[in-house]
Amino acid sequence: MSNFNIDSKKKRTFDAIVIGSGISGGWAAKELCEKGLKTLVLERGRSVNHGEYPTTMMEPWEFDHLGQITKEMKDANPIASKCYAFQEDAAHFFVKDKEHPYIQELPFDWIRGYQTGGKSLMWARGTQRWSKYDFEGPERDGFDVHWPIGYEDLAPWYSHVEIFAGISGNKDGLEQLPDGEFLRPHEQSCVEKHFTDQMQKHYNGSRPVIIGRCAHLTDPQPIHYQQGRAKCQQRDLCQRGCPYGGYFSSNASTLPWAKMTGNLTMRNNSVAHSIIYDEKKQKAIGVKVIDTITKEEINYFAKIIFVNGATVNTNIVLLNSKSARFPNGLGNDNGLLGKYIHFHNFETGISAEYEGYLDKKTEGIRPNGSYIPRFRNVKKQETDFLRGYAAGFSASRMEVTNREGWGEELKNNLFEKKYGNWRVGSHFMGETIPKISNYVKLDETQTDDWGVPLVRINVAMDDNDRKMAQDFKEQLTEMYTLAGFTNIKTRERNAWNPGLDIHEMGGVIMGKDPKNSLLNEWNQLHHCKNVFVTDGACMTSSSTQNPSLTFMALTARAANHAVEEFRKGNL
Amino acid sequence: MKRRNLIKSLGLGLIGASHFPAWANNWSDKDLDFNNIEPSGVLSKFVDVTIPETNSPGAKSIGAHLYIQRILNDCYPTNFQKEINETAANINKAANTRFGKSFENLQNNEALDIIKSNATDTKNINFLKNLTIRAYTSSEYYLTTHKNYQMAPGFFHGCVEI
Repeated sequence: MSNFNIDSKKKRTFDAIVIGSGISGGWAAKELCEKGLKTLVLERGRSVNHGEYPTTMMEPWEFDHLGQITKEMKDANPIASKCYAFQEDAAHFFVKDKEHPYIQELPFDWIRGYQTGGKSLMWARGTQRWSKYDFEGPERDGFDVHWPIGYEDLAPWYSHVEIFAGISGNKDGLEQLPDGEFLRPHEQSCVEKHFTDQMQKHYNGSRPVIIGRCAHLTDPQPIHYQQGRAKCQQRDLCQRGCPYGGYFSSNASTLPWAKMTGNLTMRNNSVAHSIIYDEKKQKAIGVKVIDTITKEEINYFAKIIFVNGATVNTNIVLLNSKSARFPNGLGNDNGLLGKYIHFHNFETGISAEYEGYLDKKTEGIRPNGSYIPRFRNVKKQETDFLRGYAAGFSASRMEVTNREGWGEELKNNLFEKKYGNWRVGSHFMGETIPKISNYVKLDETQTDDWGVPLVRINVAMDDNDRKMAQDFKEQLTEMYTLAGFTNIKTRERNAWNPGLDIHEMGGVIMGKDPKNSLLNEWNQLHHCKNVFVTDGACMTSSSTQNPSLTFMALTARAANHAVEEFRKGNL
Repeated sequence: MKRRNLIKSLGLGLIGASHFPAWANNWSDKDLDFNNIEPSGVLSKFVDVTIPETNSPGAKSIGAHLYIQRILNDCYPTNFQKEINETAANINKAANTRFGKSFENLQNNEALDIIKSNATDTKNINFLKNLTIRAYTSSEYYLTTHKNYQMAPGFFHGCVEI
């Protein structure tokens, strides 16, 4: 019997364990496996192998409700159904409200994807590098915690992940939004180009408008074909999963790559309950897992543990990892684990029309838009609020459907080819300030189906957020007016709550000083160095870029450091 | 209850259910088992006169009435379904009063007259008209014949002459 136990433990022992298979977990798996480490990836959700996308080839007329969600589904999911992608074609990739409850001390729209690949299947694929101004921001503006790394530390890792993932973009030469290793950019529409030119003229280069940078294979290279991926077919049905691997996901890219090394073990339906800490060795030795189907409790062991459960879940795992040494959660000597949650403020937007270029239109489909990098407070403080915002910008021209009349008259109207004015719009992506008062913590009595305490979320917007949103409306109105746009309308998203940006970050933040941060410059817990956190939870601040590219680069950097330390016997 | 099960499996995203039937080919009246306004024939007549069969398919032959029935049942609350049923009943009543025939047995011009002259159910009639248009403009016939619809165009040009 004892031999059997030894064998069993041996089978459950790996060089590294990665908790989560989403956009950052996939990268941890790829880097660790590639460097020869036997790696176990734990995924709490079901298996979705690349290509197992049930709706991906469905034509619009093949959906039971032409894409609309049923009342039953909507009523059962008041939170998930607020997400723009929770529609008939992709709702099966989103967590249903009732299946995974949480406690909202303040309203928080927590959008989740529990399956292989996590939210990398349904993400919006915007990928911009941070600049030195973003990393230096917290120090310049007096935030509590400052980044322990700068742009120079991450730049080679941005290149590393961009080349492999495939990022489309234009080399714009902007200091505030550094260029990357780009595949062919998408084209701007006539009115987007017009806006770019007008802004150049009126603001003298201080408010550039560029084509978006996104994780699409516009011009696949050998490295992408080797992953089994092909050119983006420009369907813009990405949230269904892409059979071509035209956009980057863990499913299409990092996980199959890790598997090809022979070093990957993937375990689905595996909730990471907690990380096991060995008081004698003074390090983490494994992960306690609950099988979601059998409810069996199984321990897995490894010298390196990467926590990539997505921000809130990563916080939960660490808070729930209690030991004599760490009674308040792993690495939580300063009591700050779970604090400094931040996000991107998306609560407003703007739209308008343009009456020019009436002899022109666009043709084909572009899974991307234009982008306005942050122009507020970039190099110095200029406004009565801190930090700034980025914005999307898109201008397109649709055929209008003439619904007038009845009978043959209506039918003829529907067959008519007629174009309306160009329609333009921008969405707001505001940086929020990490604050100790924005936190997640564990409930003391209630647990989920697997015995993990329910999380309590307490995240609020503040005056800085509101002032910034107001400034966005004023500035974008001015910019739209200068470009000659008409019928300008700003939009309040009153039902919007933090979380619906799906950019929640923080709680296990990086910093120079163990007194006010949880992770060091290599994403190691200050007080438990063989545990690495490289998903959104590690972010010291949010800046205004779509965050995933930075998670990927931080993960690749940390994983390579982990391998070096592992080889030296330091972990 | 085939339809219910189908929705359920789509909702749960069961792997393997990769081919779903095209609704226009696979719906039949026996699937529509509750809140059914179609036995009166009002809905099929309504879509037929709203977008009639000419030398090209109309709304009835692309199955718009079946789509409307399904979306009413699955996506709208019971009280609204009842309201629409009442509107259908009112339309039928008006047909009987004016022409001594049920709505479905009217000539197309008579049926259109009934719809256009209705003053009490305008909101619901517009709702049904819009759903008819939505079903028609989402159909395979309309998208591929009139809209040059392509699922995967493989390109984007930002500025072309009309």
